[in-house]
Amino acid sequence: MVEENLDYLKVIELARQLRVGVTEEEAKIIAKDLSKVLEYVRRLGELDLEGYEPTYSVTPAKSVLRDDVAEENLPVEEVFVNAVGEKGFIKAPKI
Amino acid sequence: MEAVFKMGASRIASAVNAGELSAKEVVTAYLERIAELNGKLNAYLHVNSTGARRAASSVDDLVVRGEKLNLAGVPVAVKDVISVRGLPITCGSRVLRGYVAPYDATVVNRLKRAGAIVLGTTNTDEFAMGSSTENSAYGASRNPWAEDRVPGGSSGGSAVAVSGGMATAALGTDTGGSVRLPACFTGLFGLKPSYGALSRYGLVSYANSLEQVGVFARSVDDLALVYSAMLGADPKDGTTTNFSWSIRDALSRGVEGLRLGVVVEMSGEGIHEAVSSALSTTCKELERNGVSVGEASIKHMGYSLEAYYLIAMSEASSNLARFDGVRYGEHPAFEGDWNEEYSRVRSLFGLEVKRRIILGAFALSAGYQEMYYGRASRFRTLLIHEFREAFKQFDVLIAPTSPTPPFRFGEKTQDPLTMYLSDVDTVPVNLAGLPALNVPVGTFTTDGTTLPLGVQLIAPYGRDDLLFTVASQLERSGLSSARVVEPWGRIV
Repeated sequence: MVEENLDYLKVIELARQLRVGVTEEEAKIIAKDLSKVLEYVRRLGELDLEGYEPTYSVTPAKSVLRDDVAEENLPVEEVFVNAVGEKGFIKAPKI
Repeated sequence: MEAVFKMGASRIASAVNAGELSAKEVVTAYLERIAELNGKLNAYLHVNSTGARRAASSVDDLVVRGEKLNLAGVPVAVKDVISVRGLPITCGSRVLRGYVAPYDATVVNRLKRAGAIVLGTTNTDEFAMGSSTENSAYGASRNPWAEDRVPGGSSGGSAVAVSGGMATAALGTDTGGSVRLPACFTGLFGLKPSYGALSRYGLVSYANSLEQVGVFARSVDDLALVYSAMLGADPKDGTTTNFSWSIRDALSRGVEGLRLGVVVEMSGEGIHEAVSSALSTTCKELERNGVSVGEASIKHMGYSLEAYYLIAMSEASSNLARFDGVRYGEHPAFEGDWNEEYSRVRSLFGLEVKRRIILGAFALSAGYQEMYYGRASRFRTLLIHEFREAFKQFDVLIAPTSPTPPFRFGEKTQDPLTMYLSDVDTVPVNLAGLPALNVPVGTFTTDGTTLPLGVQLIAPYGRDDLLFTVASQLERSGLSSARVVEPWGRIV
């Protein structure tokens, strides 16, 4: 695996892309921990995994379909209790 | 009559069904106990007083009309990552403060239909990321066994509720050991079912390919009763499966002739001597009952923790993208644009959650995905293969649940890797989707403090029944038992 450190600037950039606000202090701690964690997980690079396909789920990945029959769903007003809504719409920040 | 808070689920259900005890009396007794102890133990984040009383009345009405319910009046606690209609669900996070679950998770719905009563929602490490509950935004839960020891996590609140006699049984979730570890640290039976045995509908996803809803109880019978009520495929979760065994049969089956494998990679170096001794006592007891015991090897198990954290963090990074403040929890202030508003809402995540989201995003990013997430997913296939090979020689595997007895508050919070290592014996099971069960086995006393010990039984995929057969034998022979513990450490 590559010799790559997740330094402070990279953490800031990832946090920006992920829209996760971090303080300078948090970014410093995370940068330090991340390089430690990455160094640790790099040990997986020692293994010969040739011929092993990746497992993404231990149960067979199959599409489960039901009959196309209308079912009762959650009442809109109950779902809206958790959102800021106006006139039947959910309000989101401006783009 | 025995104090209600010490009764098992089957005892409560039969007394309520027979009209000897009302569900209302049960709930009142438990709410009193919670009022007395929760301030000290911080097991519950939200107590469902009104709802529980109302539910108890309905159960009593049904019983009067002659209905027999498997869990009539049985009071349960639910980890605060599982939806209970009308109750707040925070996932131990500030991000979700104010969110009220608009529907029941399938597991909760099934428990309610069987007559169980939800007493409240319990504390957890934020978004189930942790091994001690110290990552909860609402303070850590305390271990009734010892004031200075963690109860284990992430489902620590549920474990403390059952151990402290504030619930008869409880639901947790186990992504990398989050049911088994707290069960071990509080002296309970704690089940992590086969992946797909229980529905995840209504569970807030953290690492969806690894996590399962699990159960805490003070007896194997109670565990079986609660687990059975929730089993069965759910059209709302495409990963669920039906299994053909019956737990009732499993409980009455003998262990004679079973082959038990001690996992050598998990039982040697770095294991506390009290834990090793509990493990060998358990093996000897089973041998006395006709089980053959040998050494099992999962050669590459030592790489599990690395693979686990890469996969868990990658999945977390993707799953937690939905928390933008628009649909649930803390809302944006609607002052800046969406970039600023989302970042502000998501700045409310705690440090460990931020760490995992950021590392997960890195492990999935262009140029690194194959190296990190890809390799971890390939390793998973290798591990599954090695488990399958071991299960050709053994019916059930046994290993420590935790390398050490419960650790102290603050002992592992400074360095994330040290905390991650608490899960070293539990994560391989989640990577392979196997069922496993913590069985309490005796205690260990250090400096005047008595702490519980536990071992985990691991069965092949889809053979959860075998765990019940073996655990039931250990309980019958008196080696394994779980009791209510008053803070700090008085066993009642």
